[in-house]
Amino acid sequence: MAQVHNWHLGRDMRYRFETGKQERQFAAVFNINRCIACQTCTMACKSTWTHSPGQELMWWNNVETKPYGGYPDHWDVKTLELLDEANPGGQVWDADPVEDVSAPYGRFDGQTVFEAADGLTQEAVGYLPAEHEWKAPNRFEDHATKFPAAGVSLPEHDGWFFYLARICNHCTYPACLAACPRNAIYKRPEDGIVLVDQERCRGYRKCVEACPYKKTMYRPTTKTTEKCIGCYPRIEGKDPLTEGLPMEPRCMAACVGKIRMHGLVKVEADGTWTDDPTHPLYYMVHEEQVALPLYPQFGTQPNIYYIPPRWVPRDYLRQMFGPGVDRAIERYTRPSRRLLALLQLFRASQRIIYSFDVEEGPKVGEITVGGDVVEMFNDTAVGFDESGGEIVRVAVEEPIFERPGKLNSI
Amino acid sequence: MLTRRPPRAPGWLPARRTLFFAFVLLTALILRVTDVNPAVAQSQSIVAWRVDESPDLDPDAPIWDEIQRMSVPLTSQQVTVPAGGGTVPSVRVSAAHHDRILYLNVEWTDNTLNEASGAPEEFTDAAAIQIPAEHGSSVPAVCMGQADGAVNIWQWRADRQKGLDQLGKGADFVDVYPSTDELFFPAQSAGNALATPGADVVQNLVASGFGTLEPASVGVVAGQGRFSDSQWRVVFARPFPAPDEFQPTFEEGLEFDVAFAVWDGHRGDRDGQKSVSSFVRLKVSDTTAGSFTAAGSEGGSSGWLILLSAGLVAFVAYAVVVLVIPKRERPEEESA
Amino acid sequence: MTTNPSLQASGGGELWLIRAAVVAAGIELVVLRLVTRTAIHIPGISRVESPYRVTAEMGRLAYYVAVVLVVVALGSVLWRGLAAGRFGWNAVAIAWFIGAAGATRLGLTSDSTLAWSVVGSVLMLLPAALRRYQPRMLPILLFGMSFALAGLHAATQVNGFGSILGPAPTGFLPIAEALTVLACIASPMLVRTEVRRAPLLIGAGVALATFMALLASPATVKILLLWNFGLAGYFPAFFYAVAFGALAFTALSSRSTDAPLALGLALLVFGGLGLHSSYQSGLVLLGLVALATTNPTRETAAWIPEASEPRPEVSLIPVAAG
Repeated sequence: MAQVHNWHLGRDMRYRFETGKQERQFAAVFNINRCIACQTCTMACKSTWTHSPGQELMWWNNVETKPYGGYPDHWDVKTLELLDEANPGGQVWDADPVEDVSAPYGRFDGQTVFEAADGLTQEAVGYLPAEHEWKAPNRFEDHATKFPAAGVSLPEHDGWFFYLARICNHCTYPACLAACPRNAIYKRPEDGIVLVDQERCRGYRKCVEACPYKKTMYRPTTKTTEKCIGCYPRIEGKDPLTEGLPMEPRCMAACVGKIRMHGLVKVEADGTWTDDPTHPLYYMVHEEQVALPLYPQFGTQPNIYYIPPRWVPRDYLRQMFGPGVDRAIERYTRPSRRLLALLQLFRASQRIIYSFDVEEGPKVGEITVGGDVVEMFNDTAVGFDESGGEIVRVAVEEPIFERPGKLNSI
Repeated sequence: MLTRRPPRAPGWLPARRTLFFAFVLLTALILRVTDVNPAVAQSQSIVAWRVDESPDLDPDAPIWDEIQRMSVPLTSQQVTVPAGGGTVPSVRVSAAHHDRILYLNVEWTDNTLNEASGAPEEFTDAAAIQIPAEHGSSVPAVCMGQADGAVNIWQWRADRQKGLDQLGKGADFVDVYPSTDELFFPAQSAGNALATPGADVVQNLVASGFGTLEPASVGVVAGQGRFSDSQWRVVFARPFPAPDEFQPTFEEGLEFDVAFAVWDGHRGDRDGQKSVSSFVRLKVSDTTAGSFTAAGSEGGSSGWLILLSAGLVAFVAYAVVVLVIPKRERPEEESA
Repeated sequence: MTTNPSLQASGGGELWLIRAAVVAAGIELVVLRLVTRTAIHIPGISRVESPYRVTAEMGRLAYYVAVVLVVVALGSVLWRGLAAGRFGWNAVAIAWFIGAAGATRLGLTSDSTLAWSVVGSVLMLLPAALRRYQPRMLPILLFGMSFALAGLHAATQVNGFGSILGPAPTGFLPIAEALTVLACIASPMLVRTEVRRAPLLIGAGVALATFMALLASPATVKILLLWNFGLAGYFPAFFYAVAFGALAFTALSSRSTDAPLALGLALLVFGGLGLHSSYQSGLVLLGLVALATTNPTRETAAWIPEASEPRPEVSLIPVAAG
């Protein structure tokens, strides 16, 4: 057992292995406010990786409707319940957020899945979902908590639901990896992608039991467990489309709602992110703090960050994304010029953006948000590749093209 | 009382006691180097008798009725994560050899038949035999061996016996698959023996510590199990010669250490979650079975009662004779 | 009386040899049975593989040293008994055990012969030990019964004999374990001196530590009990805690005043219950020999020849004291 630093929790915690030194970490920001649950990401993944016998129940990418939906059924509620049983009433935050990359959300005083486990039967608290729980990934789709006759209005809707797109979080401290008795799961040093060694796996399903996000899945036809591979061939630039340059995973690239931005962030030896405000993900997660980890209290330090849905009751969101929710929604609702520009870069390219810049443009209007006036500028966000070459540029105001009449061939 | 000091050697020689310890140490070193262990592990021995007809792989072959089964107690595995098991209290083992093939017949009670592992929460019944690779006096750790002592493990799994083609049928699959090339079965194309259809029912594995289990590179262990009346009976068979240095070579007249493990699929047993035994001795006998007969169970228990009672009476009588007579009245030196 | 206090405490000629065997067996128990078997479970042990191998090798060497010492000590007791022309039960018992162990090692006899020989030897050596602790002999009696039962279990498990009698009753080991635990708990009866504070405190400490360990990690501690002492942990933690505490108290209390008792108890425990290698059986038998050895401050054991008599020159063993 080692002591590692988990910056999501703002403290050190117990983990089976030392923090591995990585060059980069696979990470992404999902803007829930934009997701329409079209499942294009889901099918992009399915048609690429999990279309063969034995993978019928396997959805490495899924979009579920919260609060009732879940794949597998109620995965999050069940894990939260297990943690609450292990540490009744103790799963609380000391939530005075510190402006520091090592504790941006304050300190979590409860127990992680690792700390709540007995360390003998389990490395991490968890459960093994039964087959029927994997069979209905879209159960409770579009179910709202209620339909108020008077309608709903911000800041919190009375009846609500939202879509939660999920892939493997490629956690910094993966519970699946800690739980594997054969050490068949490993985290790649070059990009932090977590993989199951298909040659060593013996299908014990301890990882399925341990992963709090339930993103490792058993395949009966090979007797092994498979999971999201972060489209690592694309990350490595092996997709012919980009001619050897790093490319975003299929689910990210296929996103119709433009909710996703993927990237590879630099990390320090203790797992915190290297200070780099020009990196789009670093900027959103650490500078603006609009994007938050999913269930940080599980303690695995997941690497998919969510811009929380602004209409949802805050106590629910705080349970799901930690104490940073109020600040994140505030900053997303009244975005800075730089953030507003950066949000335009989502899905502007399939290539991985390593840094961005904003070129300022003229003021184009004002909008009122919650009684406050917010100015809008037509700034231009520019995305660069690893060596600083420009990949893409997008302006805040969508350009308007008028079709010349003469070209009409009808 | 004599107050004599230990006799001293001449000044340049060490004292005799030092000399004696040097002798003891030297003897111990010689024993260690030559690997001659003067002590005998005398408890539980499974004897593999030579038999005239081949038992084949039939767990219910008549020959097994003639060989006594030894009961080997199992406990839950509590040493490493994931701990568990312990629901199977014992296995009953008998052994035989014929035509230089060793047969082990392992029987245990299991009230639930679990021979599928198609659903994510389904686990198979299984049993395994563990034998140190190196035949010798120092026994490696019973849990998966240790770095300097590999173990050979034969694992029989009910789901493998049932057949891979039966797997995954529980999910009402109606899909059409764009491709069923091996490429889309990564475990299979990576050479994972577990994922390969038509592979052996018994997996031949080697390990040298936790998490190091690997398929043996060569060598096949045959096996077959049968489930009836809440009993699993599984026969393991392997020819005497070792295929490589990680597996033991059997010979008549030699003794081996064997340990057993059983997984109850119904309880979610897998990996370390199993019922395990310590090492017991397996003697490959050069005697042909038939020189003794199996006992009837009724006769057995009454025989026991008589023997125990007789022993107890004799001991009490003896103790009374020795103890009741006061010490002072007896001569200083006791005579037989 | 000699003026050397350390020699004063040594009883029969073999006591120093027995002491050496206790030390060797103790090292073997700690290093081979405990450390090398548990160390492999420490994460990252592979990084310190060579120290691990060296330690394991030291443990194995201690094992061989202990084997040689046990054989020499038992042989010496037997030899001097025979040389003095006294053919007691004890000489017969030891000769029987050594003969059976040797014959089994050479493949001349079956395992069952050895197993039954151990049971026989234990029962034959027991009365001498009982006599010495008369009338407070209950703990010794319990120990003896326990080993005899465990030995009986081993004997009946040996393939071949069981076929005559049918499968052995299953209750032997739990009963034997209960007797051992009771024997440990009752062991302070054997202490003849005033109760001193240091042994009492250490005994209480051992009891507390055992109890806490069993509460904190019952599974691990029970497996260690089984590996090292042959105790399966059938009973509540409290009993084991009291047993180990009481045993520590007894051994420490009598260490300076009744060395044979302390050494004998140590050997019985190191030999363990139902572990049944002939080495471990040898430890138990030597333990019984030690228990039967009279403290020199009182009288010489009845069956060990008077050390004051001129010693035959053939003896391998140097004379320690009389």
